[in-house]
Amino acid sequence: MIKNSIFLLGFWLLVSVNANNDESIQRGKKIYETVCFACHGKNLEGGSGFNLRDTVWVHGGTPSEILKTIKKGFPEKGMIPFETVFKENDLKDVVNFILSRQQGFKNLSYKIFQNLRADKPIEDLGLSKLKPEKSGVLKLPYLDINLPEVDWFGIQNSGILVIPESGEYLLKGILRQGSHIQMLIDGKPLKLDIQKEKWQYTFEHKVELKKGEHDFELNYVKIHKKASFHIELEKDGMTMPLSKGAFIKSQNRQIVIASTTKPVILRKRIDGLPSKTIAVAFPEKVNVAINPRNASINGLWYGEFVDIGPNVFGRGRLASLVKTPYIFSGDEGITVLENTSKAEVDYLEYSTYPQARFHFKVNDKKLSIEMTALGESLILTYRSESKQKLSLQVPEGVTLESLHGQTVNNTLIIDPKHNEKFTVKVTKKETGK
Amino acid sequence: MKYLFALLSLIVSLTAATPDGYKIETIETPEGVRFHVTGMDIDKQGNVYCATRFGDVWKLQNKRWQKFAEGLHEPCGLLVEEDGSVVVTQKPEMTRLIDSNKDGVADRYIELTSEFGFHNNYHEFNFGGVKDNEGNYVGTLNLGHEDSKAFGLSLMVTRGGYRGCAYKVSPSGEFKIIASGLRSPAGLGKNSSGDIFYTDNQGDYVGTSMLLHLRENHFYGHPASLIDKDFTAEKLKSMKDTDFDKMRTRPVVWIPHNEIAQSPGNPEWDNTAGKFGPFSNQFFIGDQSRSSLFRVSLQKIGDTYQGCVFDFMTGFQSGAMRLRFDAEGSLWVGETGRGWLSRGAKMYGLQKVSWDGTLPFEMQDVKLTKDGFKVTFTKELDQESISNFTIKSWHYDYTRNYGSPVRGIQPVSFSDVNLSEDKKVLTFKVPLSEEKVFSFDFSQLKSLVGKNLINKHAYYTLIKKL
Ligand code: HEC
Repeated sequence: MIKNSIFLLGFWLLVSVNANNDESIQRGKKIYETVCFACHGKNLEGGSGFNLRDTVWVHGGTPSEILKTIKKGFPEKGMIPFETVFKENDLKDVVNFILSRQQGFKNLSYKIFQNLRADKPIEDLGLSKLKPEKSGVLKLPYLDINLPEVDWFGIQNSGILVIPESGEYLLKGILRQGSHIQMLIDGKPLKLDIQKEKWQYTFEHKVELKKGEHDFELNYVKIHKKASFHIELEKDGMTMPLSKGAFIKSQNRQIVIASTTKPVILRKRIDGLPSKTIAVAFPEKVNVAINPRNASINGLWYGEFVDIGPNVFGRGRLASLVKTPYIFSGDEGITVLENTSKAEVDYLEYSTYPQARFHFKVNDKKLSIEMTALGESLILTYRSESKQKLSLQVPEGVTLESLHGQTVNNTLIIDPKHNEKFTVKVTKKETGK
Repeated sequence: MKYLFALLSLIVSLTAATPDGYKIETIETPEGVRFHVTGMDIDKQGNVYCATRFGDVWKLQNKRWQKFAEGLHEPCGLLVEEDGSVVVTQKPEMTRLIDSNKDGVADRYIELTSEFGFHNNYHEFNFGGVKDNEGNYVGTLNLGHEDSKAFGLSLMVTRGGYRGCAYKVSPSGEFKIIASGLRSPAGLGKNSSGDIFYTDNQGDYVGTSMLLHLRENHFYGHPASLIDKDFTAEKLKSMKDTDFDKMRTRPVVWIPHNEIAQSPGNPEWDNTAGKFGPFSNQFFIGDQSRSSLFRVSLQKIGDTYQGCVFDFMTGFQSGAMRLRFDAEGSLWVGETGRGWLSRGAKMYGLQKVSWDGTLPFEMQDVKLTKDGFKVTFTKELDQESISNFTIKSWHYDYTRNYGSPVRGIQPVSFSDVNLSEDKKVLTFKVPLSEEKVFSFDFSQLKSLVGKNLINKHAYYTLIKKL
């Protein structure tokens, strides 16, 4: 899909579309910051539109190709043809601005030395003098030592590192092995101070780099067959991934689940809610959680539903996140009591049609809870076969209203003649005055 | 964002080993959907159902994908029933999905069971996708990992609730624990007699990955789950690995780490009656790390299964996790590379292997005899070459350490090599010993037309002599 895997930055210097001076870049920056940033990110890091500061160009990377891309846009994907809005010269400024922000590797190539073992220090193995079994161009502009290969091998990555501005950078690494890695910038080997941590090795190395192009070389001999390899450059809070592992990690990891036309029911690990909880989002931006262990409505929040990114990337170690504060959350919230005591609950199922509805047996009698949203309120419709006196605990932060019962001391007591079907409106308590 | 596409479109040249006559076809999955296949089944009409790790169930009907269910918590097993309902094992429960209004989308998510503990630990997978001969649904519960509040003697741990156990549930929801001692039992399958097998992944108390025969009340070696039996934490802490060793049931096969597999998925029985080539009535198993397939042939000795492992093919686009044969005898391969790296250019996907009738030159089977082995080939051998092979034997440690190197590796002598009249069956005598892997290297063997085998090695796990 990458049409141009040869990156043409150097080339650009020769065929720059506008007089390439700081003024042009500054003018381009202004335009960029008024229209393009919304989709391509404030720092060109990408968003709904592609990342524009790396050296990979899907639609062509020569200045004239980039200019053409911007002129014609991608109307079906939301990027309008900007030739209808700006003059050609203005757009040339934007191209100059984008190109001035390029960073990372270009022309990265690799050499593989099969069956090379880590039996001598890497300096003594002299990779640069050996004849590789294989070599080629890396498809992505990131250091990659995990090419599919024989199990153990030596690898060299070399290319040009484009630095966006001069200054002191912090080169950081997380590795599976503590030796047999060597990096050279402009031919000079870096003295890495590699530390062992529990499962891995790390280093942080300060390095002065001038804006512009630097020769870069990585030499590595695999000790472990599978090897994590995170290398990045850091400056003033900005990180520049250098290895493929670091790049993948740097990708936007949010996956926000939203309900647009109908309720969405979701089971995931969610921060602040117990395991096995089931969460429901309504298009009205009312979100609710129910605990199948106790038939309790155990969470309520408004706005965005959940970002499940942390729970579905990588191994899924982390909990999905709720970005707005809970009105209430925990093991229980709105809990059904039978004759004022907690009932034995057996969860049966939920159905999504025609409404979101949860089915239980409570003290061996069927109970279902149907949920809908009305404006900012959550409407719960209970249907019970019980002939006993039912009541609902009212958690902090909300009021419960019902035509079928009365609230006394944080308990909504249901008139037993309505056990078959009673409806409760749950509304956020106004705080303050 | 664009790298996502770029990453996906990388073409990686793998040194793919593929036996003659087999080809891989890539099935297009719904655009923009994270299609990590962790559960898969095919109904009688040939519709393919995939559960994705993201939490959806998708149905492929007449070459079109439709989302059947969503919002599940990492489902890791799926089976379709005759009535069209779908049973999935998701982390917090085993669930039946029913499309009651017949609009093509499930609208009832019925709990079959959640009588096991789930404590929000990322490693607490719930695997499934099989039914036993009595119609019960069978599942296996992964242990947890990195949880300071949990009990464990080694890396993988439990907070109780039958983690590390296998269970069954009747269609009406009756829950029963079958067995204990499981670690990371990522795939279930059954043979034609309905015996249920599962794979377990290399790690603590699992020297190398294994295929095991799941039997009631057996203990398979990882002690963490014993906390749910009649053992206290103190008792378990006082026990030695040699004590657990006496209690444990041996595997059907040890699957050599690196050579064959690092993270095996579900065993799928070849019931295609030859439509998938000459390996009927053997298991095919995918490996998530090597993005490969391998075979296991079984030999029943008394009531115990043991058998032989053969590599089959490599070169899949992503980790091969779930396998299913369709009615045409093609093998569908559901793939994921998420979390645990896999070879191949893609992070997920679906592929299909089919056989065009060309007979490959392969070992068809290896069986133990009273005093040696019998190796059956798919084609005639060149008489000249029949003694040109080597045998080694080794074993694996059983300890709380993470995985075991190959131990006690030694060359094994053989004698009385004999080729059958049809030139396809080789027999030879070998000094046999139990609880060992016998590894055969037939790379120098030649077929009658001078060809070498594509897959040159076989690994027989000898638990019991005949
Ligand atoms: C509404 C969102 C949006 C806005 C605003 C927008 N873009 Fe884009 N842009 C996109 C999308 C989406 C793509 C990717 C198109 C595709 O899928 O191929 C894209 C692609 C590009 C590309 C091609 C990148 C490549 O790898 O080849 C360039 C260059 C670009 N945009 C520049 C600009 C500039 C300059 C502006 C402002 C003048 C701008 N865009 C404004 C959404 C937007």
